[in-house]
Amino acid sequence: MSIVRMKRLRMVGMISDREELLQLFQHMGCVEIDEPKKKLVDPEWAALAQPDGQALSQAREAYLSAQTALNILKKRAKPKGGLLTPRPVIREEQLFDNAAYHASLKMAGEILELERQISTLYAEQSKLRSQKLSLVPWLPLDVPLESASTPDVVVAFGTVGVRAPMEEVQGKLRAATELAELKPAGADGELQYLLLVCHKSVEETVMDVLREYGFSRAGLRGLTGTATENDRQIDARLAELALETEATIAKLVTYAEHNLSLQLCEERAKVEVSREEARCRLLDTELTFFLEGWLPEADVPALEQKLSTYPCAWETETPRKEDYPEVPIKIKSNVLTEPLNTITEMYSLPAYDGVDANPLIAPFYIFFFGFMFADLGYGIILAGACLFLQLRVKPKGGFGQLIRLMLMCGIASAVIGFFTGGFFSDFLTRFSGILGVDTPQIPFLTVDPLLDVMNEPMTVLIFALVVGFIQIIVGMIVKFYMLCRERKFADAIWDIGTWWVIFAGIILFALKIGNIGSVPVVLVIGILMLLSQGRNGKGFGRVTAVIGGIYNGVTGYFGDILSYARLMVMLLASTVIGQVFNILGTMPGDGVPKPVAIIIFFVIFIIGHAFNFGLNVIGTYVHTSRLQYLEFFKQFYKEGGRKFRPLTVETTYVDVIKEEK
Amino acid sequence: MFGELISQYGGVFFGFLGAALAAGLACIGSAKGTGAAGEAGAGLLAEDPSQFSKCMILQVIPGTQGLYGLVIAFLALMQMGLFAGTLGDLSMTDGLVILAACIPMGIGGLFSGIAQGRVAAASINIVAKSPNDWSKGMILCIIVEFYAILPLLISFLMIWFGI
Repeated sequence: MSIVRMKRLRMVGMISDREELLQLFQHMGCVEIDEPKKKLVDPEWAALAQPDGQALSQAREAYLSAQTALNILKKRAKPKGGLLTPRPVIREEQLFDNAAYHASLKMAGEILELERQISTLYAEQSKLRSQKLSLVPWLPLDVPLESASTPDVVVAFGTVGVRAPMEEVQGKLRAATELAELKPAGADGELQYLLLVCHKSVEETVMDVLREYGFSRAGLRGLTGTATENDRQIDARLAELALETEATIAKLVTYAEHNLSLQLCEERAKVEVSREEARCRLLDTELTFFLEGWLPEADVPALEQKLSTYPCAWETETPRKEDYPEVPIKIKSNVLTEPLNTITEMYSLPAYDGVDANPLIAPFYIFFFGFMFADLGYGIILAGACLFLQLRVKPKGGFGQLIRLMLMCGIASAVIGFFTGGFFSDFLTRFSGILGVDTPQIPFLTVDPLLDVMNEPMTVLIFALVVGFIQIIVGMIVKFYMLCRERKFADAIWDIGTWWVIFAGIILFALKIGNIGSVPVVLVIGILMLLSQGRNGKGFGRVTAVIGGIYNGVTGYFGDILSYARLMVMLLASTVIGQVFNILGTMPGDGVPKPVAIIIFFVIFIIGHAFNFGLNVIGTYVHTSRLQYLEFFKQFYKEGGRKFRPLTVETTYVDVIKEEK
Repeated sequence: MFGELISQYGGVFFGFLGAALAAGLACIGSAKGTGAAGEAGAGLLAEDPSQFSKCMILQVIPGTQGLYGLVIAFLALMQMGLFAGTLGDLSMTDGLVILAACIPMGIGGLFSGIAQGRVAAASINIVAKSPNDWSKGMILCIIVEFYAILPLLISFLMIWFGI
């Protein structure tokens, strides 16, 4: 509900207690440990050293290997579980069970080793396959490939280009000498493969002839036996390797049952990494360490109690105004405002001296979403899906906040949809038409809806603008309050109050109330108050300040209010598209038997509304957020806060139950 | 002779022309938009096929303009009485009204589809470099969507209340 007050924490403790204290902080989860940047450059503090990062890099290594092992398992074994599987709940001591942690780390090592073996096997297989391919042209030869020249006879394996005319080559060779034989083997797309046998004495002559055709020797070193024998050997080896690969993969897959242990191992390694990172932010002397950080004011007594058993000195300090930009922001929320964190965090957290906007945007956000997405059917589906996810998976973090927000928005959509007469757009009317019965008479839903966007779009538009006007006024009230809190009463009255008088004047003028001699007094007073915009300028600067103030106010406030027309636009768009799908669904059923018409209708209905639903959920989310960011926050929001990140036990795969030590 | 031709068939002709423009131009916009996003997506998928679903969602976002065009064309045909079989009664004025009413959707859909496709294509980069932030790219795309919804709306109001 508000921004949590923070205290600066400074502490000196004994090195021997360091590990235990850090574990205590991590367990409590309320202390953020800072990098002592200022101290590091201060010569008086030069004697203090930052701890070495060896343990940190070890922890990171463990984390990486657990993560890689999990990824390998995910790829090879496809363990069960997905978005809809509830997270296991474990006790803290299970997470910190060292024996299990080391066993899992060992297992991760084994998985990595198996994966390495598999890739070696694959590499060997692909090498053999390319060797097999290179042997193909030699297969017709039944000469051992290791056949070498003797002192009298030259034996050479070689190639000529695929275009060289073989008969011409052989003819020329025969004309040159009788002591040579050229035996063609096979050919591929580029080369013809040959075996040349000739007497040593004519080698030169033969080579001269062949060189014309681009003869070059082929490297077959290392191969023994005929090409066919080699081919057979490779096949046998490939079969062996395939079996071996299969066996290794099968062995790897057996690790899938330890998936949870590996996940725990990754969580634990992550916990270690965050604690080691915190340790690296401390400053050490030989026997003591110095810690600087932030702590919520409310947690000071708990910390005091825990620290009383340790030999250490510590103090807390309230941050001064000039320290505000450094103070981390923690928002205290209740069950209704907590989901809105996902919206404010996407924009920016408030500054330490700003206000927590969550309770302010909560009613508007939920109402705007419900209004733009108003449909009883859609609302029930959205709320139902989110409720299911929330109960089954209990999602955490930003995603969890989004799910809980959409749950509330879905309920709002259903309620507003009921009053504006939308149930899958005009499903009831169209479907009754197919069945040939009268549309059921349900108050608001089919009879006299409070707002009928299809038939009275202007009424809905005006309603949307009025709602927008209310939100802008709320924003201005907050700004007024913030200025008063900072004791800038003049600014509050002249910058904000002026516009209230003008707005009131315009309303009274429109209602023709309070005119004295046909002069709208309130409006005139408001316009005169605008002259105050020049109060901080000098000379001609006063005139430009007044003109600037008027221009910004008029374009700003009125532009902002007009922007709320999107409330009506989105509502109308989703209703129209939904209605078109309903009409499309009824059309093919004209003149066919009723059951067939109903089936056709539902096929088109489901596809069409699924599309409309998906598109409009995203669209409405974006536009609702936009109205908060651009129109509402503009009035008062002071942003720029940094999120409070205490040293704590953060988990992704499991939920940890905290236990008091 | 020509005047007679126009007075007899002109209404239907201009009405059909409007519906044709709404559907045709908006679909060109969507085709260009999804095309651009698809090209970018294919580039990424060659490197990292596991991002398929994200790329596909980004690619279909600029596809909505074509659908909006179809919705308007459909409503126009319905108002003209094509489905009810009263097409012949359409007056010249009503035909021209339909034509004018379809213009915003046609032109708006054409250009917003192309623009949105460019944003979607650029958002594929987000998927490539930091897949966890891809939803921000989607939000950038949806901002452009609004300017396809506005012409849809104005075309709808003109067709629905115009004749």
